[in-house]
Amino acid sequence: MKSKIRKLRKQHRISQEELALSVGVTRQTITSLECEKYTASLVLAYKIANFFNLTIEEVFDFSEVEGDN
Amino acid sequence: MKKFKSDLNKKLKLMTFLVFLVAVIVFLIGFLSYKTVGTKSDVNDFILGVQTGTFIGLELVIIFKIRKYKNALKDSNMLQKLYIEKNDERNKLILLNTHSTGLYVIMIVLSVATIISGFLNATVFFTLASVFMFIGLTVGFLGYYYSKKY
Repeated sequence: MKSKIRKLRKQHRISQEELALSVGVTRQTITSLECEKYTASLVLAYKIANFFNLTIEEVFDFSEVEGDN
Repeated sequence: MKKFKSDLNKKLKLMTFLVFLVAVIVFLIGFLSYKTVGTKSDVNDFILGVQTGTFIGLELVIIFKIRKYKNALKDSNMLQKLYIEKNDERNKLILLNTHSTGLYVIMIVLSVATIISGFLNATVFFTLASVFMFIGLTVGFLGYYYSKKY
């Protein structure tokens, strides 16, 4: 799933490690999310969106999921 | 984090018990091997060596884990890292996929080996068939349990 995590992280000037620690996952999970290899759970998506003070829809792109319905 | 700390303490107690248990087993294997030296025992030296090596390896792994958990309980940063390591959702998914795929591979290889062994040796055939049935029953039971749980 596409996301704006990398863009937001660069805007806020925070490392993958810092974001990972803040949302309670490993750095590798953030890398996988940024590379679109892994889809975050609802809880993790909420935590990441909350970290950037945004909604889940603003961070993650659900257009592919909407296309499936 | 409090629950994680309490779980870690419980694990430490269990692992400390296991260290003593494994040490006793290693001692008993050593004693058995000493007793069978020079006798016409069916107990093979190689088997005793593998058993001793396995249990010593297990002992070392447990001691390493105990040290890791004790250090984590003393240092909050290490505790947080350990918590993340254990609860990371991607790690859990990797583990789940590894185990389920691994199980399928094991079942296929075991079933083929069971059929082939039937032509060669009855003891090996019944041993492999028992293992296959045990794994199958365990998977079936766990599948039923988790379907009721979730």
